[in-house]
Amino acid sequence: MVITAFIRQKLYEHIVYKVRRHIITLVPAILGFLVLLAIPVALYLLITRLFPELLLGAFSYPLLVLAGSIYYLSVILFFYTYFVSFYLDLLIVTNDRLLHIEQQGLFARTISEVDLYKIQDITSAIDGFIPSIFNYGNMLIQTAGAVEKFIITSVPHPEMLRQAILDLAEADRKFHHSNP
Amino acid sequence: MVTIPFYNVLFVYGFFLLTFITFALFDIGHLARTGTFTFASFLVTFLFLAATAIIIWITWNLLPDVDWAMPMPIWNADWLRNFLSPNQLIA
Repeated sequence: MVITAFIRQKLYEHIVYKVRRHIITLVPAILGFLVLLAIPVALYLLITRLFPELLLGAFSYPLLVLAGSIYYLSVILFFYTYFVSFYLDLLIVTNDRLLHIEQQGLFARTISEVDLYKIQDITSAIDGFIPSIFNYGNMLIQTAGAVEKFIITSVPHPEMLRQAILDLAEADRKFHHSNP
Repeated sequence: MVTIPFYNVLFVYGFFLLTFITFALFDIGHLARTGTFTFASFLVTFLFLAATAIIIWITWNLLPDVDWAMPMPIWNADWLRNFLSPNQLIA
């Protein structure tokens, strides 16, 4: 199943934008990942200086190796899960709708959608030093639909995207007025 | 003294590997089902699988001469006795 089937794309509908959070928002997780990878190396250096006999023990050595293996596998799995969650968070803008797919961990996903003609107002905000440099920020979309507010965080080029969605909403509004 | 065969720790490791595989399959399944297998997600998945293979290979190669059948003490009353001994505390 591809994402278009996942959102039940209509016959006349085509995807105009697929937007993910800015890749720079992954950097803190990558730095944390590198720190977690370095911890066993630091522990190994400590053990070789303070308790070198642990690395020679008939039980302690295999147990340390297995514990290290479990630790490293857990760290890479944690990071991979974080990446998948990041990658599945998606804003899809079609010529008819706006869909916000939010993956929360492995076992929870929220999909919100609104017809473009129901969009009332969009606010974009770039707040902070790093977001200003890399040109990403948040968007607040107010609608007349069931979901009154969409908050989409850390999207690249939020001002351009805001204008593009407003243009699409205007076109959709005209289409609905001429074809009630 | 209470002992168990040392290979029991391999069962614990095996249980962890099963859990790891389950979660990894969930992750890969999410990417596959939503059709988000792009170059970026393929690259990260490839690196994840390569890192997994390397870690397991290194683990395997670090433990070639271990006697998994030897009895491992899991409880010895001497541990407590020595721990609570005043000589131990002073020393």
